[in-house]
Amino acid sequence: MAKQYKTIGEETWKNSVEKVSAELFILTYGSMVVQLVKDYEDYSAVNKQLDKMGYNIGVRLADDVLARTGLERCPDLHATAEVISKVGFKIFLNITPTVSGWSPDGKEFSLVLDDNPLNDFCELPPRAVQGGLWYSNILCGVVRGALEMMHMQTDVAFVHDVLRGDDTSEIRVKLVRVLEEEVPAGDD
Amino acid sequence: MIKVHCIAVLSRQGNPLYVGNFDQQQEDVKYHYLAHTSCDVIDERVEQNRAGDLFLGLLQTVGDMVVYGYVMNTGKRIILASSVSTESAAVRNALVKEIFQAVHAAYIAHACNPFNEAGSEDRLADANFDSLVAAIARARSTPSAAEPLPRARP
Repeated sequence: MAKQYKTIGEETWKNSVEKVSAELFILTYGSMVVQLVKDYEDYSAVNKQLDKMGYNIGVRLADDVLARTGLERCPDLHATAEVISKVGFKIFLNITPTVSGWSPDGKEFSLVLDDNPLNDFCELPPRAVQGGLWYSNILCGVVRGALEMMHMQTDVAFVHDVLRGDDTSEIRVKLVRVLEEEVPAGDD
Repeated sequence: MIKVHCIAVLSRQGNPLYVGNFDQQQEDVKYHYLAHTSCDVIDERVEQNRAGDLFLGLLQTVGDMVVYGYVMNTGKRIILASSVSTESAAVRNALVKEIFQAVHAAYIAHACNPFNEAGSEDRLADANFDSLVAAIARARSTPSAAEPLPRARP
């Protein structure tokens, strides 16, 4: 199953995706984060905004991924995690984070990013590290938004980040509950 | 192999943006002076250098120091001061050019940092840039010439 997702991800990346300059994207994202920091002056507020922005992206991305790949319903959270990592991240960022750290009840897992292209060139100033800024927090929002479109309410947050001096960048995904009814509008 | 004593980055007007002194015996002020006196020579060379080559070559020899120059596309200058050696000019030029390109790349990596508050005319006070340039200067001071120079972006 994992191999099949990997192949789908790579094929889609190679053929069906328009590419843009990585540097343009990275510099744009960087200047956006810096502007948010200047506007809000409070790092946890910036984290929240990045998460919101990511959420809005994620709800749109889910349909995009399904349309491009024609994937069917995932049988369980394990498969969903694989799809996020090998198809989702692959198509949009050309990275495949490692899925690991499964909790005993199978409702939480970690995505370990070996190489986060958003981090290139970026050095966090000490204030930002102390203030608790998660630079790539938009990715958490994206995952949360996409999973909500798949009728799963989740908590997604960074737990480690190389920009803050940790060894790896790690995102923790926790399934809160499966949404049976329609997604409530006006969220956030 | 080349014993680098100083690498300095100057703005277009000649203001020192960064002066890295890798020589324990000399004070910084000597290298500030060297950088300053090289400015005129650089201006001359840039005038003549219509071909657009970034490496300006040997600028001047002061006492036991030789000074090389390089200009970035934005007009900023990098100068490198090292001690006189016995190698041929061509070999030295190639080595120095390589070092300049590595320092240029380090400068670009520093400039691309979105949190970089400094304007382009201010002193460059970044610990990472500092250590990177120091590593570049050290890398060529021993005869292990084969390894590539340190880069900021892995």
